[in-house]
Amino acid sequence: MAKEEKRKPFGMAHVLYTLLIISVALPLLYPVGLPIGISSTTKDVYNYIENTLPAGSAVLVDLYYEMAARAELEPQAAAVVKHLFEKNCKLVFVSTVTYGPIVFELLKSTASDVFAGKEYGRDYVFLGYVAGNEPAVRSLAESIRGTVAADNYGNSITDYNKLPMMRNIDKAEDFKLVFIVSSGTDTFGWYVRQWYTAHNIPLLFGALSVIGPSIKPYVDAKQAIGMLTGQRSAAEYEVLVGRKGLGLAAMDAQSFAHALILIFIIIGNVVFFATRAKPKPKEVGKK
Amino acid sequence: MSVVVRRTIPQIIVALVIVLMVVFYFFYINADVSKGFTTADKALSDWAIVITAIAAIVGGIDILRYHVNQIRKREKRQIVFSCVVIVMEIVMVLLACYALYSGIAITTQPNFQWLYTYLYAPADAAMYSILVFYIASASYRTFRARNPPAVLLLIVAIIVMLGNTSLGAMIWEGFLPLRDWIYNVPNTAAFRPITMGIGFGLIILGLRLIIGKETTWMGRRE
Amino acid sequence: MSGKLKALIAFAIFIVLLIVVAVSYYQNLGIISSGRNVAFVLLLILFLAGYSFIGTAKEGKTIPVRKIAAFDAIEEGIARSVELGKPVHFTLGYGPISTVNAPQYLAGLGVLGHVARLCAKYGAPLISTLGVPELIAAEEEIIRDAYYSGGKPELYNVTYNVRYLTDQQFAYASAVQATLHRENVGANIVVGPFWAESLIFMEAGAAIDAFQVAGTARETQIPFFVLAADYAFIGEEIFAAGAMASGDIETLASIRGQDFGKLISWILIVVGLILLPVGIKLAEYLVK
Repeated sequence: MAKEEKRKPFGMAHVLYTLLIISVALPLLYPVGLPIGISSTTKDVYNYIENTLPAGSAVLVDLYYEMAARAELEPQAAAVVKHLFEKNCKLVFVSTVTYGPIVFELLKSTASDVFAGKEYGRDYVFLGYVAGNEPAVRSLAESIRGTVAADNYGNSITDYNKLPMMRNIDKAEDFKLVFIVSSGTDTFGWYVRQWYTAHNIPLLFGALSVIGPSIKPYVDAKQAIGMLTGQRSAAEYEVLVGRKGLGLAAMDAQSFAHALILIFIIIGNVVFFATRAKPKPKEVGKK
Repeated sequence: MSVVVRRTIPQIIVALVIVLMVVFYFFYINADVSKGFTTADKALSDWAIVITAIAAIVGGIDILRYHVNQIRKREKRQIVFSCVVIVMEIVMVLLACYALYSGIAITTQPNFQWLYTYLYAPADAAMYSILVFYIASASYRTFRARNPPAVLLLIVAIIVMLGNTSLGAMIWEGFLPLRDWIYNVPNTAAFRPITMGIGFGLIILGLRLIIGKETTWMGRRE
Repeated sequence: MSGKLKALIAFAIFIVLLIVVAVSYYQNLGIISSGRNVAFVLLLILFLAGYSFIGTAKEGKTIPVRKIAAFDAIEEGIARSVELGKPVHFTLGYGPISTVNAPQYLAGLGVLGHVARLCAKYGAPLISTLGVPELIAAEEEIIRDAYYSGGKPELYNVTYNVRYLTDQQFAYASAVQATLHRENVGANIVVGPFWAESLIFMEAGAAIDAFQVAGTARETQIPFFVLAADYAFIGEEIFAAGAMASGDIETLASIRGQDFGKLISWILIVVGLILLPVGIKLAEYLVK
């Protein structure tokens, strides 16, 4: 077995890493509050909820993300949920990923301001984890009562004393919007096929920024009313709904980190051109 | 094991499943048949879930085998990690058994929730965050103006980065719309042919599997 | 059965299915699910094209297939590892196999077979990490067969060669990263479906100066591989790699079918563009 060779203990990469930690941590601890512009995609989503979605509508929210994606997706979820609650919407939370129940509890505790004054069972319900991926999504569209017997806390779905809002909510047609917050790509397709194509229910996507290009075609084809991608959209939405959340705090950090990377790209090019003049031993590979 | 068991039967199963999938997807015939197809499709997915569940047990045993071996060989740089893995695996299995015994889902079991929230989640998020460092060092290494295409890539990268941040907007308002245009037009235009190519690759792979020409996944025929 | 007879049967099936589609469409029988008529015909055409290329190759005609640089680079990487006295690392991803990504795991196994045979040829120790529990047995068999048929049975040690890590994304990523560093590998070959962990692998490999060949058909991760690896399989090339690895001319000829598919889409795009100013949207007819 090959033994580890001695390597440079502190190279250029480590300088970059150290500076990066500082440029991310400092703005998070001491926010500068750099102004951010609102992109048209975020504005479209906001306008739809504000102007088109009838007040008091039932909305399904699928929380399909795990811990790693939480930093990017939770601020989005919190900001949109705040907006929906302000419009007195009845929210049915569900999760088609195993860790959904934990993620939902974390959302509730970090966005306690959003859930304040809202009563469980009357304003929102959490169905818990529903197994079965796309078939489960289809089954929810056909009948919630037929898919889940009890909510996440063991209350029967048909116990209308505890869950009064579920009296009038059962199938896709009872909903006016589905908000899918997902760290995956496939989830969006499930809802497009099972909720939009089959029942014509409007969809709203909340995705990681790297997933954006993959789901854009759905939005272009008007199969979704819009999408929020990454922390930037979360920050923009927080500005629109007036909530100082993690999305905004993270934008400063993101700005400084991007600036640092840009500086290092410039340095990298300067070093590249400076050393290119000197003859170098041939490297292996194409670079 | 004979060649029939090791090679012929798996090949037939794979080919059969592919043909069935194609039939389920494309053929409607009538409402009753379609319903039958959906049920059969669901049955196939259920089979897959059962296989995955059994495979997870095999995986658990395999992890144990590897790490016990490492401890037995007293691999200096590995032994501590191997001990942690074994202890955690046993704890998780015990918790799952306990949850099963109490008749509740493992994700709502308080001890599991605690371990997940305070141990697994921070570790998981930390690994994801490492990407920020790697994106930085990869950009530093690779965004070099070596040739004209590389220069183009560099320019686009700078525009997108500036468009993503507040700093960009402070320099010039146009970065954000320009970023959106890059995302929507050239980016989508580049993505779609790749997606199509992948589709064609999949179809031909499917053909090779159906006619038994793709055998590389089964080891060699000797 | 003779080759000619097989080709004839295939062609007959093709014609029968085509007639079924046509009758179903024009008589409004709805045998084919709505919106999938054209897709089904295209699938049939591609199957027939691939099959006929295989048939042509069987008759002894050589069909030129484009070279994939990343595929040829694998041998270079393994030879380099042997020179440096370092092991070779291969990984094909994590997660359950019963998803839309299954073909990519399969393609990964094809490449693994090639890598294992080359490792046996050059006498290189191979470490294959994976996060797909269903594939442990398949990997063990592929590597064992390669070492045994390559005359190097002494290099086969199942706990060393095949390491199942976990099916959790970042736990898997961190374990692969640790393996790369602790084993100080000389070549890092990464083929399969990957998500955010792709860049972690590439940077960990770069940190130990490993020669890296990477490939995925997950569009969002291709840019990372193209930028950070020494050689990259782009998209569908990973499916072609399996055919190349087989070394079988007939299998190789089927790749021509992929290119034929691209030709069809080119024609459709051009026709669509020409018809657009006339007010005809071709795309609408294609999903009928």
